Amino acid sequence: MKIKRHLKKQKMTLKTPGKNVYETFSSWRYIFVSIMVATIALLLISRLAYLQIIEPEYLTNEADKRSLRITESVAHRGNIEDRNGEELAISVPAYAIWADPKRVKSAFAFTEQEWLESVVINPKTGKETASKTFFYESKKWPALAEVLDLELDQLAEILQKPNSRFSYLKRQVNQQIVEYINELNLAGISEQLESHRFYPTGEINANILGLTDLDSQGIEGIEKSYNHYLQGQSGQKRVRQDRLGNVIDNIEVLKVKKVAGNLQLSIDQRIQAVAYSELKRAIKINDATSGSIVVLDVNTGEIYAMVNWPSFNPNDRAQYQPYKLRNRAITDTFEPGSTVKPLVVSSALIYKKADVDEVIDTSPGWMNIGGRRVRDGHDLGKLDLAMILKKSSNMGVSKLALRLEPDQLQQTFSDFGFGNNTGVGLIGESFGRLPLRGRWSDFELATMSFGYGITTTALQLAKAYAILGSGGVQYPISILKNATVARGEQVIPNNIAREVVSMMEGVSEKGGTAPKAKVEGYRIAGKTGTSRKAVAGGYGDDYVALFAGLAPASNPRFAIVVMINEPQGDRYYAGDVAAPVFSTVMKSALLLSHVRPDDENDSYTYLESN
Amino acid sequence: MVCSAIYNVYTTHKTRGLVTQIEHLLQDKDDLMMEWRNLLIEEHTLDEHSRIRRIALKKLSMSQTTKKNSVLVELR
Repeated sequence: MKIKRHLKKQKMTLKTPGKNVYETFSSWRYIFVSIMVATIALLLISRLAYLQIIEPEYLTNEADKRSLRITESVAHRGNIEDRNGEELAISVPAYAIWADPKRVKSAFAFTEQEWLESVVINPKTGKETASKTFFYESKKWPALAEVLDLELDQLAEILQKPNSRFSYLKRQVNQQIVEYINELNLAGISEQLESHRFYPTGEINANILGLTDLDSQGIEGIEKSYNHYLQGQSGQKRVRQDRLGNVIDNIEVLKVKKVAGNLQLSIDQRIQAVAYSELKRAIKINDATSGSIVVLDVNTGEIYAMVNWPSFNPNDRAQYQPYKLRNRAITDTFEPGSTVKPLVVSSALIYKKADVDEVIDTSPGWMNIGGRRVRDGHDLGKLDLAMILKKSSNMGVSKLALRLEPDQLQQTFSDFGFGNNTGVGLIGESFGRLPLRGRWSDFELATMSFGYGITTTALQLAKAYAILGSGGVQYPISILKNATVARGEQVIPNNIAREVVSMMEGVSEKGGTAPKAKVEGYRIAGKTGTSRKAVAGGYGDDYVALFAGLAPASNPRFAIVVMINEPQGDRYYAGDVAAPVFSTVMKSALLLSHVRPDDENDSYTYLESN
Repeated sequence: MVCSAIYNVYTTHKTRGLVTQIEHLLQDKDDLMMEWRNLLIEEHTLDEHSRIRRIALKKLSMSQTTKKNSVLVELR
C-alpha cells in the first residue's frame, strides 16, 4: 500500500505540481492524537497537583525516612583543676562494649545440635553448608574474651541469655581495644561512646575529689558537691544527610548541648603533693592509724592543701573501700587538746581577766578542783602568758579559765568557729561538738581550757588559727579559687590576735614543746597538742598528736594543722610526731608562694633591685 | 523566572556544601579535643610529683636549696 501511494504521488506530481499535498491528511486521526496527548497531559498535571497540593505528606515522609537522621553530640564532664590550672580530674572518651545476644545466636551455634540444625543443602550443587559457625571453633571469640578480660565461658554465658537484646560486656574500654574489636568484626557486638574519669594525681587528692560512678554522676566528695556544675548535657540535633552520610542541612535542635563547666579549686597541687608524702611518711614512721593535714591561706580563707591518709587510687576501683574514701579533715572530729590554749589566752584577754604581761604562779604543778586533779608534767613555777603557751602548762590555762565565766569561754570558742560549719560547702562535713549549757563545774571548765570535752575537725582547728593569723578576721573557708577576696568579719579584736600570735612564737624555740617545728628562715607561731583519745568509760592509751601553727609570725600567711591519729611507740608527743611534718609542709608552702623570710637571725644573702 | 530558579538551585547547593564543611570541622574539633584530653593524661603521668622528685634526686643529683646557697632578690 505504501508503494502504491508513492507511485500515485509521483504521478500526481508529474501531472499537477503543488497540488493535493494534504490529500493524505485525515482530520479524525489528528483529533484523536490531540485528545490523547491532552488527556495524558491532564492526567499528569492532576497527578502532580494531587501529590503537590492534596496529599504531599506521603512523599515528604518517604523522603525524610531516607535522609533525616538524629545526631547526638556527647558533652563530657568538666575537668577539675588546681589553682594553677593543673588538671586533677579529666574526662576522656571511653567506650562500652555491648552485645546483642539474639544477633550473635543467629550467626553462631553454641551446641553441636544447633550447628547441625543450621546445615542447609544447596539445591543446585547438592553441597551441605552450615549457615552458623560453631562458637567454640571460631578463633575470634577467645580473642575478644582476652581483650575484655573475661573468661570464654563467662562470655558464652552472657551471649546465650534467652530473650536478651542488650547486654554490657565491658565498660570504660579505651580506643585501641575498640579498634581491635572492630577488626574482629563479630556479629552482634557493638560499642557505645561514654566517658571515663581519670585522676592524674591518684591517691593524693582522692579523698577531697571523690568519685563518679560509671554513668558519670558524682557519688562522693567534690564530684558530688558540685555534680550539677560539672555535668554537661549531651545535645541532640535533627539533620538531613546525603547519600554519603554527609550532613547537608540542620533541621532542628532537639536538645541544646550544655558544655560542662571546669571547676578550679583553691588547692595548690605542689603543696598538696608535699603534704601528702610527708603525712604518709610520718604515719608510717610512727605506726599511726590515720592522719590529716590542712593548709589555709589566712588572708582569704582558701584551702591550699587538704590531705588525708589512708587514701586510695581512684583510677583503680578494685582498691575502693569506704573507710579509705573519707575526707577525714572535715568528717572526723577529735578533742583538740592543748592546741586550744592560745584561744583560752585570747578569751582571757578579750574579757580583760588577764593582762598581757601578767605572771601566773603554777606551783606546785597541780591543784584539786572539785575533788579532781589538774596537773602539769612537773612544777613550772611562775610563768607569764607566753611561757604558759611555750611550756603548755595545764595549770596556767586552768587558772585563766577559772577567772572566766563559762559562757565567756564558750563564746570565744564559738567566735573561733568551733561547733559551727566552716562554710566550705562539702558534703559530709562535721561541725564538731561545743556543748552549750548553763551549768559547768569548775573542773569541766578547766579541762575545756586544755581541749577536753569539746571536739573539732582538723579544718575547724585550722580555721581558728587562721582567724588568729589574720588579726581576728574570719573568712569563709573555700575550696574554690576565689576570683574576688571574700569579705571578712572581725570576730576577735585585732591587737589581741596579734599579741597571742607573738606569744605562740616561743613554742618552737629552745625549751618549748616543739623545737622541731622550726622553719629555716622564718619565724613561726604554733602550738602542740597531744590529747588522749576517749574510749567507752574514760580515756584510753591512744593519743592524737596535733600541731597547729602560723607562719611567718610577723605577718602570717598560712595556717597549717597536722593531725596524726594513734601514733604508737615511745615518742607519741606531738612535738616529735606532728611538728616535723608541720615544718616541712610549711617550708614548701612558704617557698612556693614566694613569702619573704622574716627571721632576722637567719640572714640571707641580699640582693636589692632598684 | 528560569534565572531565579537556576540561581535558587545554585544557592541551595552551595549552602549544603557549606553545612557539610562546618559539620566536618566540628567533627575535627571533637577529634582534636579527644586527642588533647588523652595527651593531658600522658602529660600528667609524666609530670607526677613523686616521679620528678625521684629523677631530680637520683638522676640529676639535685637538692633542696638552703639559706646558705640561696640569694634573696626583692622585686619592687
